[in-house]
Amino acid sequence: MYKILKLPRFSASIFVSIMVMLFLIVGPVTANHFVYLVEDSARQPGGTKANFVFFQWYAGAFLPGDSYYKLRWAAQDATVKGYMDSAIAVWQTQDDSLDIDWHGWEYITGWPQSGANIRVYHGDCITVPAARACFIRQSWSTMGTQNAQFWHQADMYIRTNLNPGTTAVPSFFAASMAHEVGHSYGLHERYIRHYIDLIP
Amino acid sequence: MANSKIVFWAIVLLLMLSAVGIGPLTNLARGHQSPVPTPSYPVHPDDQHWVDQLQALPFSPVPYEGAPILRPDPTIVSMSQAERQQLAETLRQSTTLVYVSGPETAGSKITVVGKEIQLPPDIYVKAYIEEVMCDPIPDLHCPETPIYGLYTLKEDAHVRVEANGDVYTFSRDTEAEIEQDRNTFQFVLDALDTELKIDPYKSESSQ
Repeated sequence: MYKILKLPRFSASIFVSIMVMLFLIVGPVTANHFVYLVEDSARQPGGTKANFVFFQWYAGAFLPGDSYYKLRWAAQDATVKGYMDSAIAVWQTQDDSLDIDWHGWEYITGWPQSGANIRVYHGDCITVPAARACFIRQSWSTMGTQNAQFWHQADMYIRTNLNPGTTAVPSFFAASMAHEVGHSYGLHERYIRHYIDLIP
Repeated sequence: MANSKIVFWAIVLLLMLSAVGIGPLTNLARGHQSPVPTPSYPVHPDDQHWVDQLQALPFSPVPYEGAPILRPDPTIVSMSQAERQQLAETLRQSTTLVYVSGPETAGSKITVVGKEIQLPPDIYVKAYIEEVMCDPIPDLHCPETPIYGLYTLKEDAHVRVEANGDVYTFSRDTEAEIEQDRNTFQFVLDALDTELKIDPYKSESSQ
């Protein structure tokens, strides 16, 4: 090329270097934008390398709009369903940097609902009576073709009775639920702390 | 000669702009620059004020080193609907379910503070608790996560094994119940070289 353009090798090499640097820098920066489903690896069950995202959503990303691959959820009663509806609505309009439009949700009726990926319980968290809410992993799936592991089912618990020393405010339970929904997206505590901070 | 140089640098400029444009174009292909979606879930009018409050909060995810990139390969945008359907179905069929909570975990192994503990066939992980949010009560013990909630299949004994290796009995009214928990889960206490602790907190009701 440098012969055709009658330019010295030096100019051509500078040009090539610039192009290589641009591709090396711009590519990873773009990819890193999507590194947001980031739970602490220390929280994973021994031996798993789960990808912190539900399989339904991963598969659903290939088939946008396909209800079969939406994350199916069920609620124990109307109270927690109401909180969950609103919490999902909050997340669906979150900052576009979350790129959340490929995460489909689908409410299914019936309780207890074994076919749900997420079940929302109204009551004490198992083994931790002091907890306001908690997030319990039930199962994950291995995927041979991808050499990957994806979450399959989880339970959320939220307790709405008041204990001595606590005060109810309108955002109290709703913020708690929004926090737990953040975990369902695979987000680590540090990214959804701001919901808890709303609670006085 | 001068024209050749102009042409050359014009090409260089064009290619540089193209390279810089790859990022945004890739995001566009992934749907990243699509408009913020309208909520498809209903919000009760009474809740709208806090929904507005939560939505107004900034969200700035910061990746940490080694975090997995989970967004599917952007090449899927070039796949036909039939190809996507086939891929999704292949993924679905290639999965094998593994339980971390529930009766299926009876007799499995758990790992706490780096120590592997074999559960007997009649003891299971009722709850693998990844995260808890506690009430802001002074002096309240809020457990470190992850937590293994271990139960007998008959549910006549239970303990909570916390991430730091502490083992608690909870929601117990009598010394006999505590002693049963201690005896049943002595193998856990031995493995973690610790004593059974008592969580005095009791919820006022289940809801």
